[in-house]
Amino acid sequence: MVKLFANTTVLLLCMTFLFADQSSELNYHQELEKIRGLVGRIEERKLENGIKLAILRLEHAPTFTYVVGVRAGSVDEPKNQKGIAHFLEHLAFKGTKTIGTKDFSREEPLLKRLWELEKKLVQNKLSKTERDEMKNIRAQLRDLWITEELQARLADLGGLDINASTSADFTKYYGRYPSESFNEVMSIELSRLLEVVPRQFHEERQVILQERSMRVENDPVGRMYERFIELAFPGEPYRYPVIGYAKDLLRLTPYDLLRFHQDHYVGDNVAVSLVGSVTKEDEEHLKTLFARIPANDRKTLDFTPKKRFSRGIQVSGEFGTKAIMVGFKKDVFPSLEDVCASLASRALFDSKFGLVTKKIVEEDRLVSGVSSAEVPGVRFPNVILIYLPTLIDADTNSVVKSFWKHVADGIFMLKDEGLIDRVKGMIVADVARVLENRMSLADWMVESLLLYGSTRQMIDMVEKLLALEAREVFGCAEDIFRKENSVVLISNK
Amino acid sequence: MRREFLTFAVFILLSGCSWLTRPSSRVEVENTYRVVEDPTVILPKVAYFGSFSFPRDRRFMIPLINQLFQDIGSKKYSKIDREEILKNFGGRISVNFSDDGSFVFTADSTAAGFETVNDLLVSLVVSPDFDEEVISMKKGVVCENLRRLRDKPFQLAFVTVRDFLAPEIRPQLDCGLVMAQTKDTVNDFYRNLTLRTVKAVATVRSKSISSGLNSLKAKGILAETQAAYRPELANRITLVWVKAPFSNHTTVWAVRSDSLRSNKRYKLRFASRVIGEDFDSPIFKSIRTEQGLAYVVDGGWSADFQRGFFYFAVQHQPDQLQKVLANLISFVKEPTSSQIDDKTVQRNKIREKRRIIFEKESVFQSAVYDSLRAVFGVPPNDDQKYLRYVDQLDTEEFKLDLQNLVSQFTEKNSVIVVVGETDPIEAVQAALKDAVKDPQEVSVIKASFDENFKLLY
Repeated sequence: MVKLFANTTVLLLCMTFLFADQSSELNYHQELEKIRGLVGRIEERKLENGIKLAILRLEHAPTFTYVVGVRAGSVDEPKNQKGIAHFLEHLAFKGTKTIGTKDFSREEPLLKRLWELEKKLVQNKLSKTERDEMKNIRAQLRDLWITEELQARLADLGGLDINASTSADFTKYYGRYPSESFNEVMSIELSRLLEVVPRQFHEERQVILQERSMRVENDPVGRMYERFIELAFPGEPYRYPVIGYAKDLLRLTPYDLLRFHQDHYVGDNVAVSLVGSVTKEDEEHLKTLFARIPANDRKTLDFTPKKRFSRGIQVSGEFGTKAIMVGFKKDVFPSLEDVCASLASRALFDSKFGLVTKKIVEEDRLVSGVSSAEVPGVRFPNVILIYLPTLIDADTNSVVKSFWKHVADGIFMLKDEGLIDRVKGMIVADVARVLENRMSLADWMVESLLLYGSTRQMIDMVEKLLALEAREVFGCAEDIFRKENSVVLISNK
Repeated sequence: MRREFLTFAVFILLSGCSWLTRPSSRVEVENTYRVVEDPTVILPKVAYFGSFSFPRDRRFMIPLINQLFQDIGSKKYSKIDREEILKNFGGRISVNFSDDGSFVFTADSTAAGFETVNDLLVSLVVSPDFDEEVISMKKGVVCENLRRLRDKPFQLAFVTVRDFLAPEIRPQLDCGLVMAQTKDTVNDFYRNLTLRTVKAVATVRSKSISSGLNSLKAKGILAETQAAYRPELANRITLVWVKAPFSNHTTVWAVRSDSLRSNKRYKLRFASRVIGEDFDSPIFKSIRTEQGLAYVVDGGWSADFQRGFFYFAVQHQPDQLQKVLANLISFVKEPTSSQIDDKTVQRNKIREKRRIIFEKESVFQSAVYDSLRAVFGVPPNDDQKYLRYVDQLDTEEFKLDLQNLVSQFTEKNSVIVVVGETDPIEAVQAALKDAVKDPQEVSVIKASFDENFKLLY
């Protein structure tokens, strides 16, 4: 289930029902109607090549926000090419055959020769003559390149938040622009969906290695997380980090990236969401442009995902911080289990009111907070991850012991209909907050299109959640939040 | 392709909060409550904001007070009442004091509970109940956050920059001071906070907001403070090496600059935009795109309502430090020969004009920013004035101003903070050798933590 329900919730507190004198449904009825109304206004289209499009027209400001999503995440990467989806996302800012260069016909042969030499460079097989040749080619290319032209053109069009991201499931390109720039922005977006030219390939690989150094090697939580997903997803594509491994990144060639682009940036894998002032003419223009994307079918991944861990695992180590990660395996939407698990997770581990949070932070004073999220993606059975930053004078084993006790107590309390009712209200309020932000709304729309084929599933998810009874939530919590279905990673320092 | 935007990092990191219920001779409530219609809003919401003053020698209290407001109750609503209300109505409240003297208190909830949630927010601020138990728990949380600061090299670097460039508001990150607090000292601190101005913006017309404003009594105007540099910094470049267990280096080079209320704010805002805020900025292009030296490359003006600084920030491998600094030096020595030409200036003028339209997207947010600026004497239509400035800006004059601005980096009073395991001193001195007139102008300070997670110099 999409990130929305990832950060959890509630606690049934003892006993003052001072303000609980009306049912929660009445408390959030008005907002629910507004949410239904807003989602109901989203228009959907499907192009002949398989590309899906969702538009929410908001006319009060002459601006628009978009997300172009491609079903090309780290799960789609070939063996020994971990990190290629993210690398490609970086290179998608380097331009095309017409953007970023003064003359592609002169540039192309130079680029190809440079790639051969750079491959030798990485393997330490470059002769002195070749080194001089490489230097010479780079100098020629510098004269031909218009560095960061694609970025500059988007910024010139008045763009804000021009960026991209890669996750385990998707690569996304996004931004916010004045409506008058619509046609030009979409033309640029189309151009990089059709083709990328891996300019500055060697330099960008260095940038990514530096990014990995920042996010993993020099971040205790990053190191811990990388180990956690290895433990939680053995034999499954979710076990690999999105940023990849240095050894794979050093092995990749520009041709590998071009092949990955050709395989994955195809009609059925692409969706576009638009929120804001978008006219019918804009829409027609977009449809004409994006019809040029090849219509190849998506590739299916050949593995059998597991919905539960076969046994509980607990591993200790030293990652440079004192903390604990606990993960529980579960199915994903449209399975009802996903909705149910999200509700239960919110009740148990909400950072503020979670039943477990209250106990372990406020009463036991063992950790400084509790945070939770669904990781690493939402296309296949995933994990509800609970992160517990342990206080300096607390013993990690005591934290784990205490955690399990409070989880067991908390699950028992989920039978309370009043508690579940109020968690539902909190989730409705959170959905409202997501929809109030154009970028998060556009992001949710594009993920819904890529995951389920329609944004209607957004409201379907909420309706299913609201229809759950406390006994059902209790039942699925008992099944999911148990030791046998957990991976615990302890970092002692 | 993400880029780390570090602007405001320090100020946000160290923001704190507090309050006062002192009687005031004149209560300003008229015209301080704006109701705006925002078609994007689903949950009704309110923001109270303004300025306040507090004893400057107790800045370490601000993070603790902010933490406390996440959990305490008030004289009117107990802690349990607070939780029940927020759960019942999906409500969120936030009380945040920043040590530049600004504050923002916000609430939103479903419509059915909005009046109650707002009343709760106001009562928390007017008559907080600083419970002994909560204080004890939150002291541990604040200390843990301080401890974990050592895992965050950028935050560490900016804290150090701020400590050197604005010592009058040095963060006092000291677990020992925090742990020494009691219910009495917290209450005493809070009683002595003075609200200077209070305004409110909401998406609904509400009686509880009007009465809330009456309760949040304010007086006076917050004066702008000016501070001296640390003596170590006088007319020289100071290198501070924060030795911490990172295999890479996080390097921040900064000079003191002006605040958001300064009359130089338009100039600084535009310079910041041109120098470092877009992906095609000159330092981004040279350090990242063309040489692949770093993932994070950033630069620009970072400011609050009392102070600001201009900075460059890069995270890189230690063996690239000299090269990174050489790039920055080449830029600050002659920015206008480093791709900031007439075309670049014109281009950025057009970008700024186009981007101003985004303020129409969220009426509520725009109203809040506008009004908060007004609290500090900045006109509410400041963005439009900025646009006029940009429009009329003479390119040659801008280039001259930019040269003067960046020349400070090598001429005087700048600080280079390097966070990492590897000793950076030789590399920095080598890089600066030709950039400064006298090598004696570069002083070196090694920083480390004590047992209370306090940085010692």
